[in-house]
Amino acid sequence: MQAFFAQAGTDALTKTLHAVNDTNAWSSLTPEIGIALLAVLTLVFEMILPKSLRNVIPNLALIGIAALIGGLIPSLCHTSQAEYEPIFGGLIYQTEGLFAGVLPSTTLLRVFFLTAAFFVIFLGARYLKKRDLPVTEFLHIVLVVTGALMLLVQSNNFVMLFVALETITVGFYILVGYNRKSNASLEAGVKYLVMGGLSSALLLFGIVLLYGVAGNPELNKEIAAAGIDAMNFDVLKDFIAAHPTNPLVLAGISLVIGGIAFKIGAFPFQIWVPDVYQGAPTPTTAFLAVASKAAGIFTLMLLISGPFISLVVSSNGARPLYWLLAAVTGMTLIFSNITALGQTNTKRLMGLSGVSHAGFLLLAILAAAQPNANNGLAASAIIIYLIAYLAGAIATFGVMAEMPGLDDSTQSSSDYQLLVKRSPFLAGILGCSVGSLAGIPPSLGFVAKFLVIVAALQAQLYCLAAIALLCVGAGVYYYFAWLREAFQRTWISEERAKELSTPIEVSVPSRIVLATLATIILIGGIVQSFLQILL
Amino acid sequence: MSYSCTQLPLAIGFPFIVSLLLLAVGRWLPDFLGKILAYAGFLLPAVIGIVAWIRFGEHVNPETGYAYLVTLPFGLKSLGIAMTLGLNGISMPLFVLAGIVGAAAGFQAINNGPDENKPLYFGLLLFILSGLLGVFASVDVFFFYFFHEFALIPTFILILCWGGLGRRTAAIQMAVYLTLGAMISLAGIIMLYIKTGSQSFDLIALKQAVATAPLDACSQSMIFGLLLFGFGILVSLFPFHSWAPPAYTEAPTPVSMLHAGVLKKFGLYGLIQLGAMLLPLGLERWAPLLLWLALGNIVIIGLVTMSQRHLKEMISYSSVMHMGPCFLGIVAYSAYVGGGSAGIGAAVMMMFAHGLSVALLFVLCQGVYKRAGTFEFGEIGGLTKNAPVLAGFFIAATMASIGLPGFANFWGELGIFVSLGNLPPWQLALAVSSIVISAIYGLRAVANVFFGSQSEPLKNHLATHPARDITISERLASIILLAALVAVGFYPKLITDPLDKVLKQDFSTTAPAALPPDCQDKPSAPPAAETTLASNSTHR
Repeated sequence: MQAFFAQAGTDALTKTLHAVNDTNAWSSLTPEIGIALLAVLTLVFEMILPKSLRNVIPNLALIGIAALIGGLIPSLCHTSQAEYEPIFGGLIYQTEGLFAGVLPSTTLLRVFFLTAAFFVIFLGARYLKKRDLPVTEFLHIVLVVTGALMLLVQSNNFVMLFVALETITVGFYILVGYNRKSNASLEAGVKYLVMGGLSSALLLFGIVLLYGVAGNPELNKEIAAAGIDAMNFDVLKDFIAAHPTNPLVLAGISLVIGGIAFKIGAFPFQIWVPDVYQGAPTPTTAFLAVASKAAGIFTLMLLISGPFISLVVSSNGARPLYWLLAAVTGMTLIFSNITALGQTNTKRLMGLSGVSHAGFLLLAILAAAQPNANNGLAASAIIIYLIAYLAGAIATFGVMAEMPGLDDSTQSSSDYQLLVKRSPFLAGILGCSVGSLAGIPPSLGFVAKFLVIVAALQAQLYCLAAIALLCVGAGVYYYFAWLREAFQRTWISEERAKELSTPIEVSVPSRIVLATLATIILIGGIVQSFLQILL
Repeated sequence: MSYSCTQLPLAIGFPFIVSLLLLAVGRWLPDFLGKILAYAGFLLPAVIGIVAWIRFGEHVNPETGYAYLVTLPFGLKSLGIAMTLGLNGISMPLFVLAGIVGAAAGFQAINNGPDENKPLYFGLLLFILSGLLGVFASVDVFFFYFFHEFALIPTFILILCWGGLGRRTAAIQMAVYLTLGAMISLAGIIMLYIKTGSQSFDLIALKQAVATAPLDACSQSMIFGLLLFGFGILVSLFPFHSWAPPAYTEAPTPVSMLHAGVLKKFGLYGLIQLGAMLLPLGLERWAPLLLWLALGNIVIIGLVTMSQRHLKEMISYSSVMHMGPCFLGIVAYSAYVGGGSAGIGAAVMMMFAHGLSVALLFVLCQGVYKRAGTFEFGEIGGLTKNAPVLAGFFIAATMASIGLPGFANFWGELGIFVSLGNLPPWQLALAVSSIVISAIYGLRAVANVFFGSQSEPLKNHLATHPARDITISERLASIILLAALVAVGFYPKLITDPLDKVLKQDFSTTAPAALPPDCQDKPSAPPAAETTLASNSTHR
C-alpha cells in the first residue's frame, strides 16, 4: 500500500497534507465544532444526570442549536464582496452573507440545516418519549448528521464531500431503523441500508474514475508538474473543461450524479423513497425529507456550478449533462405525481410528493445553470422553495405525529376523518401546511413555486415548466384528497363514531411550534416583501 | 393618508382580518360578538364600494384612467411586483358587484347559515370575499391572480363541511379543474411579463410597454391562447365547464353566490384587461374558435339547462350558459367580428348584471328548498299559496336573468347582440337564441315551482313542516341584489359612463389592425430585452 502511494503520488499526498496543516482555520468551523460538542454533551448528560432530570436534555440541545444559529447571524448579515479563499488546503470553501455569486452562501445553508435539526429534535423528543424509545441517542445522531450536512455543503474536494456524505448516510441508517419495536421501521432500515450502500458505491466509483483520469499525468500535464490534488473541485473544473468528451469523464460524472440523485430521491433512484419514508419514525422521515433532500440539492448545485459546469454550459452546444438533468427532472416530476395519485397512506404520500418537490428543485437548478438567464432569481427560488418545504413538511409531519395511535406507518388519510371536530387546531395547521405544499396562495409554497416557474420560463425551459404546472394540478388532487378526509362532514358507523368522538389533546409547546410554522407559511405568502432579502 | 387612498386597502383588509380573527379565536368568542364582527366584515366592503362608485368621477386620473391608486408594501420589488390597488371603469363595476353580492351572501350566511361551527363558516366566507375584492382592485397582475386563489381552499372546505350529498366528488373536481385553469393562466401571465420585457407586473406599466413596443403576432397568439384556455376553464367556457354545475349545486348557498356571481368574472375580466387590451392580435387569431366555443356555451349548455329537473342544478347550468354572451362580447372586439369596443363594454355590463341575478336566484332557490324540502320540480308546485312574496321575487329574478328591459341584464345582452351585428345571420340567430332558451327554462321553472296544483309529496311535506313566507333576512339579501339590478336597469349610465372613458382610452374604437401573415412564415423578432436570451439559446 505504502509502495503504491510512494509511486502514484507521494508528492501530491504529502503536499496536500502540508497544505491542510498550513491553511487550517479551525475558528471558521466553530458551528460544526459546537454541534459536535453538543452531540457529545447529550451523551455525557445522559450518563451523569439522574433519571428524573434527563427530560431536560432535548431542551438543552434545542437551546444549544438556537445559540449556534444566533452565532451565525452576524456573518449572515455580512455583505462585503470579499474574495473567499478555500481553507484547509482546499478541502473547505466558505462564503458569507446570503448569496455568493449564483450560489446561496454556505452560512445561509448552515443556518438552514441547523433550523431543520431544531424542529426535528423538537418533534423527535416528543415522538420517541410517547413510544418509550431512547431519546438521547436519537439527539446525538441527529446532531452528528447535522454537523456533517453543514460540512458537506462547504466541501471543495471530493474527499471531503464523500466523507461528509457517508457520515450523513450512516447516521440515517441508524435513524431510519431506530424504532426497534416496529417491523416497518426495521424493514425500512434494511432497505435504506442496501440502497444507500449501492448509491455510495456508485458515487465512490464515479469519484475514483474522475480522480483517476484527472490524475493521469499523460492527460493532465499540470498535475504531474505541480503535484496538485485531482480530488480538488478547482482542479477538476479545469480538467473537465479541457476534456469534455473523454468517456471516463462522462462515465464518472454520470455515476456521481447518480449517487446524488439517490440522496435527492430523483428518478431513477426514487424507488426507496416511499418504503423508507413510511417505515422510518416520523421525525426521521421529516429529517430525511427536508435535510437530506436539501443536502443533495445543494451538492448538485455546487458540482454543477463548479467542476461540472463545462458540461452544462458550453460554447459549442454539446451539453450532455444538461440533457441528462433535463430528462431526470421531467421523469422525476411525472413519476412522482402519477404514483402519488392513488396513495392513501400519508407517509408514503409525503414521500412521493417529496419526490415531486425534488423535481421542482431540479427544475430551478436547471434554470440557474442556463447561460444569460436570471441565474440569481433561480438560486433564490431554490432557497425560498426549500424554506417553504421545510415549513410545510415539518408542520405536516408535526400534525401526523400528534395524531393518536402509536404505529403511524399505517396511518392513512381516512384516519383523519372528522379531524376538524376532534381538533380544529390540527385541522387548521394541516390546511395551511398541505395547502402550502400544494402551492396554493396565500402560502409561502405558492410564492416558491411561482418563482421557480418564472425562473424556468425565463430560462426558456418551456417543456419542463409545462410539466411542472400540470404536476401542480395533479398535486392538488392527492393533497386535497387528504384535506377532504379531515374536513368532510361524513356518515360513519356508530363504532367508528365512538372511536372518533374523543378530542385530540395537543400540548402547549407543540401548539406553539406548529402555530409558528403556520404563521411563517402565511406571513411569507401574504407579505412577500419579507422574502425580498433573499432575492 | 386621505380616505381616498385608504378605502381600497380597508375594504380588502377588514374582511381579511375579521376572517383571520374568527378562524383563530372565533370558538372562544361569544356568539353575538362573532355575529357583529361578521356583519361588519360583510357590509363594510359594500358601503365602501358604493361610496367609491359615487365619487369615482371626481377622483379618476385622466392619464391612467384609474382612481384611488395606492401602493402597499407587499410584493417582490426585484421582480416588479407591488401591491398597487386602484379602480378603473372596467374594474369598478365588478368591485362594487363583489361588495354587493358579498353583503347579500353575508345576510344569507348569518341568518340562514348552519347552527354549529359558525365562526369557521363566516371566517372562510369572509376570506373568499376579501380575495374577490382584491381581484378587482388589483392593478398588479400578480396580485390579481394571487387574490383569485384565496377562494380555492375556503371553497373546498365549505363545500365539504356544509355541502349537499354529492360534495365529495364535486369539491375535488372543482379544486383540480380550478388549479389547472389557474396554472395555465399563470403561465400566460408570466409569459406576458417576460415577453413584454417591462420588468413589472403592473398593468399600467404593461400597457405602456405594449404601447411603445407591441409584441409580435406569434407571441401575442401564444400568450392569448394560454390565457384563453386558462381563464376559459375558470369561467366554465364550453367544453371546460363540467366542474361548475356540480360545484355550485353542492356548495352552500353563500358560496354559490360568491363563486358563480363574482369569482367566475375573474377570467372574463382577465381576458378583457390582459387579452383584448394588451394582445389584440392574439384575440384576432383565436376569435374564430372562441366564437364557436361561446356559441357552444349558449346552445349546447342552454339545451342541457332546459333538460334539468332540479332547481339548483338548473340555476348552476344557467350560470354556465350565460357566460356565452359575455365571451361573445369579447369576441366582438376582434376584426373578425368587427363590433368594436362596444362589445367589451356590454360584456362588462353583462358580467355585472349576471353576477347579481344569479346570486339572487341562488338565494331564492334556497328559500324554495327551505319551504318545499326539495329541489325537484316534480315534487313542488303551487308554492305561491304559501309564499307569495317569494314567488314575486323569484319571478322578478327570472325576468332579470332572461334580460327583460328594466333590469341591468337587458343592457348587457342588447349591447352584445348589437355589437355582433356583422356576423352572418344564422350565427347571430344562434347567439340570440340565448334569450329564447333562458325564457324557456326560466319560465318553466317558475311555472313548475310556484303555479299549478301542489304535488302530493309537497302536501305531505307541508303538513309536517308548515311553511311561512319569505323572512326578513331573506328579503334583505334579495332586496339588495334586486335594487342594484333595477337601478342599473333604469339608469345604465351608472356603469357605462366610467366604462366609456376606459374604452375610448385603451381600446381602439375601430377594429384592430388586420392580421399579419402567419407567424411561422416570417422570422419572429423577439423584443429588445429578449435578444440576448434568445440568441444564446440553441435548444427549442
